[in-house]
Amino acid sequence: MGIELSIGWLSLILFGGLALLLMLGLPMAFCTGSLATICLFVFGTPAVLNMMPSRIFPFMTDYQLSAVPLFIFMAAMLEKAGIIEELFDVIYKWLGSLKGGLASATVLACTVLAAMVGVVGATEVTMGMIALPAMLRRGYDPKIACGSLLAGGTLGILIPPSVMAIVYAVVAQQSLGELLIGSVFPGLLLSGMYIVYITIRCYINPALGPALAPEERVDMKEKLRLLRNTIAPISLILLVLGVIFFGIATPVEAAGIGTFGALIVCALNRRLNWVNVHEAAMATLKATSMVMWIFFGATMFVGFFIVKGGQTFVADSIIGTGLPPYGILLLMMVVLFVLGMFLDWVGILLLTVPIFVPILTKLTFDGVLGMQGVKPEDISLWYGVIFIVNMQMAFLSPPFGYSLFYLKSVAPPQISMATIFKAAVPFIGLQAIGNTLCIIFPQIILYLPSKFYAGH
Amino acid sequence: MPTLNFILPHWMYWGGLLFFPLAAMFLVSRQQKRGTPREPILFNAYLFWLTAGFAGVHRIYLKSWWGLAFIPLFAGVVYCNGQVREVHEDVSRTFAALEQMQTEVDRSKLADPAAATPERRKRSEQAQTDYAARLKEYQAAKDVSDTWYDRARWLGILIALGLLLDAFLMPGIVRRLHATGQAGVAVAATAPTMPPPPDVPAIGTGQDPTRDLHTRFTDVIEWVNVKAGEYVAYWGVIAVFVYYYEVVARFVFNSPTNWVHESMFLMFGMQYMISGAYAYKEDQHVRVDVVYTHLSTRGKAIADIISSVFFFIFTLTMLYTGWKFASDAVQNGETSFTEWSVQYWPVKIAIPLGAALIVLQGVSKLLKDIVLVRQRGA
Repeated sequence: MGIELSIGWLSLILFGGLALLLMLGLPMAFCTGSLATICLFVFGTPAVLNMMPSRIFPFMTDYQLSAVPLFIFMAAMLEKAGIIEELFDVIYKWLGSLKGGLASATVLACTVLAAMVGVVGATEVTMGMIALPAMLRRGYDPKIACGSLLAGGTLGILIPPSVMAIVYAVVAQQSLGELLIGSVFPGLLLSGMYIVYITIRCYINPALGPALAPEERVDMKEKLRLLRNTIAPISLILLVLGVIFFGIATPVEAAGIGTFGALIVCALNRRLNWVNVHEAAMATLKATSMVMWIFFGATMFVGFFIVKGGQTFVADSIIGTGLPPYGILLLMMVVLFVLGMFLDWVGILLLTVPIFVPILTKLTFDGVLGMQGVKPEDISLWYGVIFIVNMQMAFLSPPFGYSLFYLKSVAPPQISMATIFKAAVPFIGLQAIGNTLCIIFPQIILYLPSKFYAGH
Repeated sequence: MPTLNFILPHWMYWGGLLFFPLAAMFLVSRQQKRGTPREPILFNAYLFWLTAGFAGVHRIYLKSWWGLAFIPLFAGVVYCNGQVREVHEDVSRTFAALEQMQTEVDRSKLADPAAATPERRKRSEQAQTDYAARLKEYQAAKDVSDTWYDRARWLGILIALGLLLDAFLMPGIVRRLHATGQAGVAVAATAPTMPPPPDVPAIGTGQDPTRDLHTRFTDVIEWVNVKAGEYVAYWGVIAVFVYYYEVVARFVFNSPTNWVHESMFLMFGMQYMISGAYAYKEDQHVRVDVVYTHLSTRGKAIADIISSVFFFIFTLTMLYTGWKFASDAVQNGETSFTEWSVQYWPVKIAIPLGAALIVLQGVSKLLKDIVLVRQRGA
């Protein structure tokens, strides 16, 4: 119909309409898609609607996106292989004699698992089922027990392989390999911080997490024997990460051979059969389809907003506040945190990244507190990893943190939602500190990519 | 190592996409009826023999440590291939230099040696000696390359012989494993036995009030969508083997392919599109739970009916525009602009097809929502 409206009003209509439709319970993918369709019709011509399939088609034929179903399939097959139980079993026997050892073992097992899976759900659910009762039975403080599971489980989407990194790479046109490598250190940093925090608290007050009773501990011989069970998963991790690190093959191919490796691990555990393959394939399909349809809807929505000058509008209003570059970044982090309390990460990524990244790449980040700055060409990579670290908080922040609900669904009845909320708080604090460290010391993120990907 | 020059023919690609899911569906339902085996299966053993036997995986699968013997051989092949690739540049560089010299020799060749000036004669002799030197360099580079190539070949033949032997031995090994009865427990003994984890719906999903409601008409629609979802889900399994083939072809046979990447991302593209309806049926499309969770069943149904207007605006537009988009491609018999140049139009048809399925699913959901509202209202 070709009605003209100032971008300020348009933004209000778009995002107000989005909020309204989301409240009504319409799935994110259809909210964004339908609003874009209506706006294209009202503020454009009916002929403009023909752009819909040509905006969707590039995502259907995107090479990098094939890594999403493959990595999810790999995680699903490994879950079927029973690898989560096996790893936790080994690690807690090794760490059992430490105070808070079971909680540390939980975080460590989650970290190792995170290097094999790129999503949050399955690890957290399975770990919740085995580790939580194990800790509670031995008199662990429920808050420490739940906190370690919550925080550890969310590492799945930070430590490569990571589905979030793939989606970011596609949206921001950023090298996926660099992004995956860049998120290794931040992941280990967070994991280390969780373990240190748990250990310090348990040594101050051993009642929070007593060490295993001596008769429950196992001797060195048994410990070494247990290590045998970790050979297959560890070689799988080395294979996938090694392939990505040394640029032997593309991340998508790494996902393919990683999944093949997962089939072998599954077969070694005698669990490779058609029924398991069927279940894993169906679970993969559901998770992938959800991500992709949000892509289809959000690309229309954001595309329309940017065409109408929304990008400049947001940039002008943010830069108009007169904030310094790091202030703007902080503002964005706050926005992401608030969105993370309500929205799913896929939606947040697709809605904010196309708007935020162009703003950031125009700013100069020359370091705070006398630290080294970030080169303009590295900003997209740097922000990508910061974004993923920030989204860790979204998984834990009440009222709608995914991890909280995953854990509640498998926790014994005496663990109330309030306990889980409280358990999450200190770990959200740790994540915020980790995020700040990544901003102040960009080398945490940029060092590995500059070493391994220079010139690729 | 020989090179692999296999290019997937288009008919085989489309045929595979059509028939593999059917075969998988058959095998799954058979195993669901008969129960899943917990001991090594000969099928798996041969599968690994075929796909990863060169690294001894089939033996390791059967808990036979002879499998480890394959690993150094295989590592040797990969190393030799790496060397071949490395000296490849030397070979082509020296070959180019040689050819250049050849033209120089031709050009400076004396038509009539007697009448030539001393400079011309000198230039000709110089060219001859230079040519000899270049030839020597080229031959040296070629020799190095050939040696590595030969080594790779011999290692490859060794592996092939081992595999041939194993092809006959494997049934016996599997039988012995079954007889001793220790096949299934080798690993499982140490792992604690756990009930399978429950299927926890992600937050923002699995709240559809109509999920447990059935009517004859909507059941038909849902059956179609579940089957469509299942059908495309198995494509993911194909991708695992195809990507694996690409990496092996490149590193073991030094022959990268031109069809793997394209065929797979097109396949996944169709999968995303067609599976939308199935995911909607399973209520997997994530929503925001701020208000919706707190509504009663009837309240949810009413909210669904209101928001379905927007749902249909999006999906029907997608159906209509997607149809036009695809019919253009069909009329032109569009193919991709790559070397493989596969038919593009079936991929484009996936857009209206996926949209049609999800519209159907939306209709089914709307009908059930209306039923819910009327039930409680009465």
